Amino acid sequence: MNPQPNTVRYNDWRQVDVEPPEAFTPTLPVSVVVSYYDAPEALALTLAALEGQSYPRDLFEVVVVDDGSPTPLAPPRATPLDVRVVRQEDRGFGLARGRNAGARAAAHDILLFLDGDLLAESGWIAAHARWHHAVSDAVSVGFYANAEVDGLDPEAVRRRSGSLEELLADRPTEPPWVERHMRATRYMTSRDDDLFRMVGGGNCGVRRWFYDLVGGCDESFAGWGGEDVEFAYRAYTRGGLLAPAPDALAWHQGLLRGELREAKWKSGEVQHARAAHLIAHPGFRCASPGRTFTVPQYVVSIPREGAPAHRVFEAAAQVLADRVHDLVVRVETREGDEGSAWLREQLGPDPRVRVASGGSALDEFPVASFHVTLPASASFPVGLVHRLGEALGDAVAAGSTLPDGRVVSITRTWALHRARRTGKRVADFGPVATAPPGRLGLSTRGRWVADGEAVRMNSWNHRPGTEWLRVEARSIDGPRGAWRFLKWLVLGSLRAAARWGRRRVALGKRIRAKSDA
Amino acid sequence: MVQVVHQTASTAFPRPTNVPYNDWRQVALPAPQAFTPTLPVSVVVPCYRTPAATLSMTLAALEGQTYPRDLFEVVLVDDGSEPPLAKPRSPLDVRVVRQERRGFGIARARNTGVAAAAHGIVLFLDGDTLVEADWMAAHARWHHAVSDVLTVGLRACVAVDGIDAERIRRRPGTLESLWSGRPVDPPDEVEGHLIRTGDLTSRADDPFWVVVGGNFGIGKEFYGRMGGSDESFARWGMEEVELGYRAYTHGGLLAPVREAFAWHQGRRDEDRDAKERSLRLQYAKAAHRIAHRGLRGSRPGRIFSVPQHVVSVPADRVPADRVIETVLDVLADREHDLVVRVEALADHGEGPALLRETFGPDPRVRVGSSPSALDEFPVAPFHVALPAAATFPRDLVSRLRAGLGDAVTAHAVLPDGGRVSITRTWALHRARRWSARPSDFGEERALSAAALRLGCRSASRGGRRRVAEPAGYPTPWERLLDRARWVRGPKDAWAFSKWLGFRSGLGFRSVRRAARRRR
Repeated sequence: MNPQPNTVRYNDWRQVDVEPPEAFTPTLPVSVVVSYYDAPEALALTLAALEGQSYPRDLFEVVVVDDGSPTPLAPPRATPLDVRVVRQEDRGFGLARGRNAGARAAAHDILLFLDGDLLAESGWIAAHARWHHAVSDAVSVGFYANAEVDGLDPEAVRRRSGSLEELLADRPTEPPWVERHMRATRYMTSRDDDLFRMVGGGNCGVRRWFYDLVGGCDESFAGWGGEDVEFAYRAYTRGGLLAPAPDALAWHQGLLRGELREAKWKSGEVQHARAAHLIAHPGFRCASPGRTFTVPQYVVSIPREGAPAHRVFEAAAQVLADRVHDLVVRVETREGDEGSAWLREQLGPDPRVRVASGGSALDEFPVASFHVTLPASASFPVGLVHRLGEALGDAVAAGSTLPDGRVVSITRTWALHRARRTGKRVADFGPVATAPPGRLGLSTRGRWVADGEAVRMNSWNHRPGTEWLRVEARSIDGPRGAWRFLKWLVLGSLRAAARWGRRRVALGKRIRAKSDA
Repeated sequence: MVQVVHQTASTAFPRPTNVPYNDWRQVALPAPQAFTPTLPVSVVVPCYRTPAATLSMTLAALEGQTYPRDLFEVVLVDDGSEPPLAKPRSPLDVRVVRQERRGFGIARARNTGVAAAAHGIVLFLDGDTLVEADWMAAHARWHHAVSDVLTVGLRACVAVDGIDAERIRRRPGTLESLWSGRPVDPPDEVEGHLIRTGDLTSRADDPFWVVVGGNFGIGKEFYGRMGGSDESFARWGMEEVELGYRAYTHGGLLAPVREAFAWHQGRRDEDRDAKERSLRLQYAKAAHRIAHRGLRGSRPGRIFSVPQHVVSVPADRVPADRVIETVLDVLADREHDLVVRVEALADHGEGPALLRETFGPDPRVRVGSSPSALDEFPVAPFHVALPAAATFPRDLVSRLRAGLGDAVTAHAVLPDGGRVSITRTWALHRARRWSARPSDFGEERALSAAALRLGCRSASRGGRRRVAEPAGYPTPWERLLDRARWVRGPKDAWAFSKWLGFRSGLGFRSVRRAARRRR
């Protein structure tokens, strides 16, 4: 049975048909990628712990990646394991780079990542590999605990009778920190959208093709911390299954106290600022409105669908003014048409807009959290994206059908990826909320006047003539249209007057009067 | 306080302008009759497939200039015509420079022509435009006195059927007398702008709209300093206005020269449709390069290539946390069309790294780039200086703009002595050229910090990063109600109260803070 992409709802791994630990028979080979930097004693202990794995020894290899230690790591001789050493040059802190190098050097399709200072319990590989025998796009999440290991020698680890836990029982230890979060999210089966926080890069597993699809670790992380959560975020947003493996317990050599913690925290602050740009989750973005991030939270696609350019522009400008600033608008254009050229001139240089001709929004923004589709025929108030986010709640998607039959929708990106991979519908992965258009303030904006396009484009420019008024008037199709036109005319001119003219003049008068007093 | 410094015509070399605003009347120029040309002029004429007859008429009109013939040259720039433009026979000093055709390239052709020009005064003339006899003298009179003036001549359109170069050469009077009786398209649009702005002497901030059509002159050095014509304008229209905008924002003087009159060969409405279509696209393009509200919609949220406001926040001797807080507040301003510049970064500690990681990829923030704000954003029309210790309302930029009104600079003094100021960029450039203050070139307004709702962060509360809610996320109260809605039984109630206890520290503090700010 070949492992298949997951088809579960949310992250409910209980729906996966995976062998129970007792009945699991390993058949697939595994590569364990061990990150190492200048700590030979710690590595000796780690390798000793790997010797005691219950997984068949001929089904796994160990790739140790030396991140340019001052004394290059020699391949360990006295080990019964299949161990290789890959060395990369020292270009500063290179944990992310090292993991990618290890993944490239690994021979097998299942990759397990282990830090060089972690002691793995004997069932560690099996606990991870169990998931990868069943699901092809899983990220198995191991647990960490900390223990004081001073004076522990590799021989003792090799010759122990029971588990590591028993061996370390009389030493000071710290229990797995992730346990608390696991309980809070019912072992990652809740609908929380930040489950990826619990993935630790030094104890996790993933299939190679999925690792490559996600793009591996981001090598621009050049300090301690952040790179693993960022990788997990991308894996999660790409529709991967986060599978907790409590049996994949690894003991960190040394407690996280004092100086170490302080140093990590300091580096973590800078890395956190970096991660905020790459992880589009509010928990990572202590964002005040007005910031723009590398990976946007929302992608709003406005398909062209034969709409005149000014309509598309109108919709894009309205979205850009939304209360939600953390978004990108993707406007579709055609080649060689004047309206498209105009749109490109208007919106092209704006970093919050992508003017695309072809391709899909999902490919262009694979790891933005939400994808919104907004037909250009929709009329909507500023704040629609915010309202859509509210309508979504914790559902997988939410939509609203316009009077003209077109659909405004918001969808979680992981569901889009999962649907694309498995050929299923988004609705198969969770509930889809429907919102009445009225609640979102949506309506349709009259019919399109194709020949008015060129004229109306001018209205955004220097000298608004009366022509565009005529164009708008021409779109009147019945009493409702007339009412809409009137409303548009009156409200629009009131709004414009309020926005520019009087307010600033009055404010200026007030400020100057107060200053002179 | 307006300090009026009269320009003297006695100086041998043209000097930068030092008049207030764009008040060219304060420049002391010799009367047209008393003007003696001493400086040589290059006339740059871009041509593309200009018929030989048209060009010969243009040159014939140039032959009749009152300006001494040994004091000017004509540079014809061939924008890749096929067949190439041959050097016309003319008694003038005419050269032909050729550039390869890369689409419509009048901006590029002008730059090519200026690069080839031998003299310091450059007059631009289109290949199909005839000039009156005193055209060159009228332009050059200005350039003899002022080094950073952009002189703008007027141009009318007329059909020239049946008139040839010979008739132009032998005409007894003005060109106008040659086509008396023919219908003429007067320069209505430019005249309209001139009327609106009192011949550009008013305090209106958009005199650049008069720079249209191929009849203007500029000093070669100033042209190079502001970057020449923008070659990315590869369609008909708007490149002159954009050039005018940059000249104006760089502190140049825009001088309307009514005597420098030119005639376009052919009526205005010739291929008007194609021109209108092209113009529409060019307006859209220019909106990104001309930071004037007339070209940009009123809705917030768009980001333009040239921002309207540059807010500089100095980061020296200020904790990084506080700088971050200030930058976040500026980014959240209701005025979206701005860029924040974090200046004077310390070169040690984690502060710079933290600032770079936090704001590096944000297109509306520049962190620690080396040149001054004026060098980095020379054509953003407003520069704001804001100490990192200031507290300010959400509409700070609007308030500053309103307080500034039509003055040149305005400032407010904070309780701790720091200064918040807003200054027009043209005045900054002019002040730099003269080592003067911007207020020497126009009115300065002192605003009260209270009127702008400015304050200082107290030192004791500083250093703690405010965790602002992201836009579009529920406020603490909304979240509270949201949570409360889910309480279905005692277990939920317990979880809710636990959550409340956990959050209350943050929640109530932010409420208190909001209340304080409102006060």
